[in-house]
Amino acid sequence: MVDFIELFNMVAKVAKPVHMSFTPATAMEEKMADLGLDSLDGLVMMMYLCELYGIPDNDETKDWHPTTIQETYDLMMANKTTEPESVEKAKEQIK
Amino acid sequence: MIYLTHYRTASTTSVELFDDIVYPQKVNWFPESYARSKSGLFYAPHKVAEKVLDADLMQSLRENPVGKTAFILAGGNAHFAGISQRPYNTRLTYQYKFLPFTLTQVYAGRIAQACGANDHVVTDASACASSLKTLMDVQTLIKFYNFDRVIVLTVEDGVSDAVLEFFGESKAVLTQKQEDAGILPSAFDSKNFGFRVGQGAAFAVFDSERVLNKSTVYPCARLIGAYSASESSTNAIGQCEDGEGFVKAIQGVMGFSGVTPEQISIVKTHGTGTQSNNLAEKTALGNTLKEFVATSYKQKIGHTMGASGLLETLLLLDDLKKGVVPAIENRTETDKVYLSEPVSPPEGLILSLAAGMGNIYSAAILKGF
Repeated sequence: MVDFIELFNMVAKVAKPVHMSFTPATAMEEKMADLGLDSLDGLVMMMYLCELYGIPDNDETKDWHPTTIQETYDLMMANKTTEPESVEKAKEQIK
Repeated sequence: MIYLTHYRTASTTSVELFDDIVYPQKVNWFPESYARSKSGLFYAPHKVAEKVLDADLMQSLRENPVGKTAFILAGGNAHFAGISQRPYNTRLTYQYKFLPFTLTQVYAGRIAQACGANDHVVTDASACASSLKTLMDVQTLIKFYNFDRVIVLTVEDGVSDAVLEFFGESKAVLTQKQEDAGILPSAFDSKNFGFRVGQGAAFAVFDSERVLNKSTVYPCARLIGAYSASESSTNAIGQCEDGEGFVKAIQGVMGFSGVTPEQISIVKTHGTGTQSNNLAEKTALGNTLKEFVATSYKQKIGHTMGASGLLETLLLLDDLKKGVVPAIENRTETDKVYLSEPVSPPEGLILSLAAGMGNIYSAAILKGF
């Protein structure tokens, strides 16, 4: 199973404006804002994560605003139709 | 004084025929910019822009602030054209899942922060004159509003279904039918004419003299002046063939800069090679300058739309460093002014020109180093 923190950090790196840095997460309880991820970064990350977990776009997903990595993980697990085989393959899919 | 201190360019000589579109035509493009674009996760103009967004340079700009810094995205249009609601289904068709990023100002805001440009963030929608027109904004911000640095990113969604259809429909581009008949892209020529559409981008950093004086960076060029003008025309996608708009832009920049016609020796033309631009630009140059050589880049890299004015100017600076003013490709007659052969750069200043829909004409004068 994919290490979600590793996956989260990879997606955050892709989602941030070009080459803008952020602090990689180390624990599921960490808040996205504390990592330097703003609400726009969060929206873009959700778009990528939904793609990776096979969650179709709908009005409900647009209202998801998780504030921690754990909340993000819980949303993915509750709604996934697939999941990435590895962080490397996920990166290929969204980069 | 204003100096160009850093720049990056992206353009391609790679040409491919698109025969599955309404008006089949060849384009200069980066195929990878459209890879998996139908997923909705990738946006072609952003992919092209990434080619000039240098990680190290952006980090350096962000971490070494110099004072009031502005960012301008010269996007050519108010939103990127590929998001057109027309029902296309070609290789160039894409969806975009995150709609706000199709708006140029949202994209500009994101990139500006990554460059540490927090004092003024704007976009420009002056069509194909856009990026050269922003040099007038650079000049205004630094000279009159005390800005220390202005960063310009220019990219347009040039190779998109909507743009190719528009230019095909308006008969502005070379169609495949014309190319099959032996016509090649060129400008100011009696046989060859016209252009192909192309993808390209440029990133440029302009610093005030006070910034340069505190820096160890050697400037690439000095921006002596820039000016944009319009003309009397009821056709917003046409040009006055007497060159009124070009003349006003050229005289405007020379007047503002205190430059005389004799000082300008190299002209980077708009050079689309259309009948109306050939007439308008040549007439205007003949009526405003003395001795000069003129070149054009659109035959080589395609017409990169809003990016073209600045991108082509930077490509000229690259060529001048190599000691050459390149010829206009596919000229069929010997011409020592509208160059049919490359020449060594004559001493003097550079005049760069661009024109755009809405009857806008931009001119900039630079001194290369």
